[in-house]
Amino acid sequence: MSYQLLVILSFVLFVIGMIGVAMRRNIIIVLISLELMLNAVNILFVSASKYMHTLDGQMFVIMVITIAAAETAIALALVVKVFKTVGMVKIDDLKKLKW
Amino acid sequence: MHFDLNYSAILPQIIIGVTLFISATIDAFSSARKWPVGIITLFGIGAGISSAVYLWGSNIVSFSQMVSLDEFSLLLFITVMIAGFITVLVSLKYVDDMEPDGGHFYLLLLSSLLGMMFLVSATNLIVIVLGLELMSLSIYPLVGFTRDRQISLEGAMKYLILGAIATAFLLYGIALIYSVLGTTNLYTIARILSTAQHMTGNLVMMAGVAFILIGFSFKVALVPFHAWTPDAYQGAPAPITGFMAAAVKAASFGAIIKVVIIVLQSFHVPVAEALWWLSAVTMFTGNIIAVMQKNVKRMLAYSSIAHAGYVVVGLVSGTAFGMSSAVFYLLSYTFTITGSFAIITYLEKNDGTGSELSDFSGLAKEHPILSLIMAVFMLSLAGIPPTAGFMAKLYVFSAAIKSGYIGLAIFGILTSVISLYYYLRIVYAMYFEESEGRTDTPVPAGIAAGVFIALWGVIQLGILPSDIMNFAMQSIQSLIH
Repeated sequence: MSYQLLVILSFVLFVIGMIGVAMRRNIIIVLISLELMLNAVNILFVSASKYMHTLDGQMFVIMVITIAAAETAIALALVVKVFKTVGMVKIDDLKKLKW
Repeated sequence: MHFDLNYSAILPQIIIGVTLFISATIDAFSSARKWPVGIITLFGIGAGISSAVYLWGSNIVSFSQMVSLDEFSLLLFITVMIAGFITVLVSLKYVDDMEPDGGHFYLLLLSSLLGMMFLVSATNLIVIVLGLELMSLSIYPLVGFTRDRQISLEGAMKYLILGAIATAFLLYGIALIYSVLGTTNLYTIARILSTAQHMTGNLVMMAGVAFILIGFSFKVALVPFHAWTPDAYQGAPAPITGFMAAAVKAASFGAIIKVVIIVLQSFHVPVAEALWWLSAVTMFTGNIIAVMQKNVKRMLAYSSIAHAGYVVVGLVSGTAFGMSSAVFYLLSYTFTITGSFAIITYLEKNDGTGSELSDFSGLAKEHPILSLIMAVFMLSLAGIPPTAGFMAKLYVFSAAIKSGYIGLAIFGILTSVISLYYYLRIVYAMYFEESEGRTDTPVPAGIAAGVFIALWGVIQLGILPSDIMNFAMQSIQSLIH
């Protein structure tokens, strides 16, 4: 696959993730969309690393995966606690704080 | 390829890291009350501050040019560690009251300090992201620390989602820059850009810079990207709100200043334009919405948004003086806001209420000294002499005027006149309104100590600012060489 196609793929994935974060109301789906955004970053790093003939990009991917895993762990812990107190995991139920 | 591992380049980080392990061990073996863990944390942060003062003047780049120890990072180390020190002092009693087994409060605070220190000492974009994430991932659970309050969980959840979006934007920007230049080292990027001028007009490069700018704007809450701030600040426990407003903001701005000075000078014009608009909109929106707030924590959240706008005024001017005035602003804001939130911590009740404007009415009759100090902090936030806030605003606006951004300076001064209204409303409530029967508890020693340290800082920076300003100038010079 050519380099340009991979860059376009990663950009499209990033935009899809962004739309998912903005439009979906279920927190779990929002978290999945966030993962999609981070994986778009990974694709760009790996393809750029191949194109540039440097290994740095592939090293960064491991760090990005670590960050994504840590973020998801904390997010899911919060989701569990929110589910226990509110009884739902929809964004619209988190509306005690306004303006 | 050789590996240079000069451990003195990360000596303050090592001290904080060792403290983290010692505190975790003591936390595991101590009983229900956790103040001993807090005391150990205080000693560790104190040792960290002393090491940073001791290392002043050194200039070491190590770990394959990933981390540098220069006066800039040392000054910001001291800033965030002072914020951490005051926060721990203030929380000694608070944590034991809120959570029966809450030792993780201090551990998370230490690990977020560690993240901030790597964030401001990084010379590689990837290390910046790692530091930023270590800081943020420790702050999210702290916002939700009082986990039985629904607003606390709500604030943490919103902060986490928007913070993760910011990280994704930042990483995507870095990946775009990497795909054009093949490196993420700040100095190498600057070198490539200075020799290859056509690169600055490259579309992918511009997109990368824009993505990085958006990611950072989320983290320091500049206006179109500020939506999480009021919710997270109101939901968080009061000491943590102060810590977020002071240290998180200072560390993120430290990274922005570093990136702008080293890399973006070659992009000078479009970035300055973008920052101009961001700062004008931020100052205006933050101050206007703060006027309508009834809850003091939320009011100070909007005020902290506005203050981020004032710091950006220093960045817009682009000169060494403007950058140092931004650093000075961060230090003065750190003292003022941690002090204010120490007093709010005292007023906050166990169920999270107690920070409404009406809770301040008549405070002067029962606590004359505390009210006087709160009034000084409010005047400092509004920028009235002889406080730190006045000198900080003076430096920032004079830097803007010197660089020819007179319109922005006048606009900033006008918005700070608006801000006077809501700061003085707290003072008015304390002195001229009748109280509605408050249960009178003595002020805990930790809170009193924290408030006095903050007051000392506010007065010191307000009356004798030139010494600190010289340190700020040195710190900026250490980046330019």
